[in-house]
Amino acid sequence: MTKQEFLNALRGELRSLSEEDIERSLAYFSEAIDDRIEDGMPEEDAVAEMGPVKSAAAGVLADVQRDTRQSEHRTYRPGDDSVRISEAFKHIRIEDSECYIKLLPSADGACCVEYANCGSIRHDCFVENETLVIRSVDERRWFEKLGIRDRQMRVSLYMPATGYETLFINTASGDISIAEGFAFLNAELKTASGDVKLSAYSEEKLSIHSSSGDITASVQGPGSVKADSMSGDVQIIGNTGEGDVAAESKSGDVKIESVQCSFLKAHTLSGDMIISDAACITANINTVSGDVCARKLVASGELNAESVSGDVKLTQCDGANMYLKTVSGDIAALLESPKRFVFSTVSGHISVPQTFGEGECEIRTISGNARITVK
Amino acid sequence: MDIQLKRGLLDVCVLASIMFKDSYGYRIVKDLKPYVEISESTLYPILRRLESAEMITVRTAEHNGRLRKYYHIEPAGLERIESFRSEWKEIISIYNYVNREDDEND
Repeated sequence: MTKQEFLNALRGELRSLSEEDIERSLAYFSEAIDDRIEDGMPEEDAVAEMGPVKSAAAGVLADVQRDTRQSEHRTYRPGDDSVRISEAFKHIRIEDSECYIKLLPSADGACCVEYANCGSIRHDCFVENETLVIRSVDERRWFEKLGIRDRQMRVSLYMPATGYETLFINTASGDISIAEGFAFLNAELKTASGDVKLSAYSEEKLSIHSSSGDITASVQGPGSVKADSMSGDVQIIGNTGEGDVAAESKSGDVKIESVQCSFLKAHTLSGDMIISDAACITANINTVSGDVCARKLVASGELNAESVSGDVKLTQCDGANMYLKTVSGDIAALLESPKRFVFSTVSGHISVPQTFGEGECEIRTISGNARITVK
Repeated sequence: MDIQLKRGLLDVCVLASIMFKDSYGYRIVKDLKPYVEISESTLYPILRRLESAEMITVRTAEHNGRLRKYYHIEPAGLERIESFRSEWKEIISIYNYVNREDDEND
């Protein structure tokens, strides 16, 4: 990639920001690339040292978000509907029926729970055994549940931006959002119909489950990440650890971006799958009727991609050994290194290059076509 | 390593790299390389954070017909390094305590 291509791509990623923020970060990366070229590095290598465009953009976006968050905090004043928590806690447990649950870093390091428009849904909030518990107690009579609510019920937990041991949130129809700045050893988020949006550092394990909601997880840290939804879309961005990454949806789409992990698993039934910039030891990609599109997915061990009727498209991908299988879908792959090719098909047409690499690439189709090329 | 500890250490590393002399992005990355692997993408939010905390200031200067940003440490930045030094003394004394020999005679 040339310097100009990198800067153009970065500008694209940052388009939601103000022109001033964009110009400042473009000037910064432009200088970093020029300095390397001046140091005798080829342009392409200098650009490569900036890392993926997405991670460069992530740093800039996180910085701008922090700025806006701080200014929001300065005007924040706890009202009557808020409870200040003075006891220390390591664990957080939130159980709620339908409120929108938000976790936000507090400006002054204090901990505070704020309720908005919760009406007659009462919340118990206490610290017990180093655990902060927030639990909704629905005291409404049946007729109070009827009608249209014009304002969203919201529970916001402001707490110091630091590390916590466990986070457990379970809600029926509410959304869950976790702002950037927190780290968790173990986190489990569950919602039936709500969406989940989080940005967090995962030390050991993070699991997110939604039945019909969408999941967007931007994760850092060495822990493993598992996100699954029945009909919602699942997106995992930016894991950089040695843990496993698993994303699953039945009818929703799955997207995995800029991750480093041990075991990468992506599964859909009818949803499509997009995987880009992923480095792992083993990759298992599996769909029934969805299409698979992977770019720069590299497995140091095995790379398995299976589909029934969906198409599989791999660009700049590689694995020490590879196994590609479809029934009626087509396979198109551009691999990074030569392989020994083994293939079988009933009625499809298969074309592979005449190469002899160390690893093996096995291709099986019934009626699907396969076309493999090596860089 | 503990996350908060690591984040705090990176801030101190960047401040230490401009402690004696103003420096620029690539130079900071190169200077820190033997101690901590950091890329410009990681460095960007750190510099911005230090700038908004008024621990550093930025000036733009011409270099070989293009612009380069130089970072300068401010008193608040030097104070941060100083508090790191005293925090570190505590950590070292805890470390020594953890590693102490059994020297009590019965």
